[in-house]
Amino acid sequence: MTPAAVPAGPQHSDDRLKALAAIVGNEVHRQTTASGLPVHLREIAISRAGQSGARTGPGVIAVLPLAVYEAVSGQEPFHAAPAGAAMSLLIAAGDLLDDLQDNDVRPEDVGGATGAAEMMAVLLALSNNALHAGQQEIGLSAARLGRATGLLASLQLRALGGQADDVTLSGLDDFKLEDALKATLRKSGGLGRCAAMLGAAVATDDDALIDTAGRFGENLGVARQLLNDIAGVIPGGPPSTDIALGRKTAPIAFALSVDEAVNPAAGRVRSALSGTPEQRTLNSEDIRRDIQEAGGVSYAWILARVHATRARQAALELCRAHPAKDPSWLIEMA
Amino acid sequence: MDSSIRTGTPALLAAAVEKDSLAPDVELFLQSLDLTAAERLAVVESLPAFQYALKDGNGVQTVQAYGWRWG
Repeated sequence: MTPAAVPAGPQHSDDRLKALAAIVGNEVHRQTTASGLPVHLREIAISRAGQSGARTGPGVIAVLPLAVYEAVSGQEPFHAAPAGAAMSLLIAAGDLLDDLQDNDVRPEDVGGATGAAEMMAVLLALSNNALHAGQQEIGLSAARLGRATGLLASLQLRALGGQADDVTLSGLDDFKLEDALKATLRKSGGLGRCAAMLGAAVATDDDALIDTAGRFGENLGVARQLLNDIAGVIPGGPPSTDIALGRKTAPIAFALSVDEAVNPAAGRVRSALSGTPEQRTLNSEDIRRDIQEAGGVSYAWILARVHATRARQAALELCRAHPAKDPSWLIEMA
Repeated sequence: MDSSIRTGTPALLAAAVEKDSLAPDVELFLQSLDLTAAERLAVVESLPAFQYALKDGNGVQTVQAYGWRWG
């Protein structure tokens, strides 16, 4: 494996993100090519992983293992490329599931139900195998491999559970705001926790540092998910299916939980989102304005800042492991 | 944090959106989150600017600046 030149410092954060994403992409390509899978499945896996988390730019979660590894070990981040590949492939599997559930992708576009199931199985199998497949390349001890593999498996389940909670909540008119936040914590927080803990577990045997990495990743994942959720409802924001599908994202869940006697906009949101998606005739911009007027955007913003601050505090703790390394990029992520 | 959101607090925050950012009911809401001093400071520092951005129709740019594209 060839070390890549990774730009340093906050002024290069975007270039740095892309450089780390390229390392992860190369590792996914290398491992998938060597997997022995039929060519068409390899091509699909590489293509899906290349898109993972990248619809609006390089995904942070897939490069998180490398960034955390660098902060904790003081070594070059490419040593954690297999952990990044594991996350990239896991996120690709999650994105595929999400796309099918949100009707962003039709089953016939991915080879029908059989093709979708096969693709999902391939992506998860490659993810689970990524650390083992890269063990020799990065000189990972058997003990650290065992620990990292166990973390990947348990945190995968947590994130998938959060995804299921998310979908279940979408179909419910009667729900608690806390349940919506817990789903975000399990899904997006779970993925961030998994990515950061993998990077730390490859770098060290120190339980406290690995736990701190988990706190960093979880809070970073939640903060960024909340920003995405705001983007999905804010007036003038990018297209999103969150409203049409009745997703109980933080801003929507908050607006639905407000007493309409206190704020009539909340009543309008509740009325617009009642019934099944097929029954709704939505004017997206009107509902976006009502969600904002009901306080949903401000509420999600406050929570996002709280989680970002917690991530930043954890990043500072992680960076104390190697004070000589420039910690600004890791901290800047939050 | 999730369990510390008190019944009725959402309504208080919603009612406060049109007021000054740190109106007493917003303070009450922040207290319900059991924030540390650093967490509270981060919210307090960013909230007024965010509220003005929403009011001026610049919410999208503000959220973008905080990095939703990295979600």
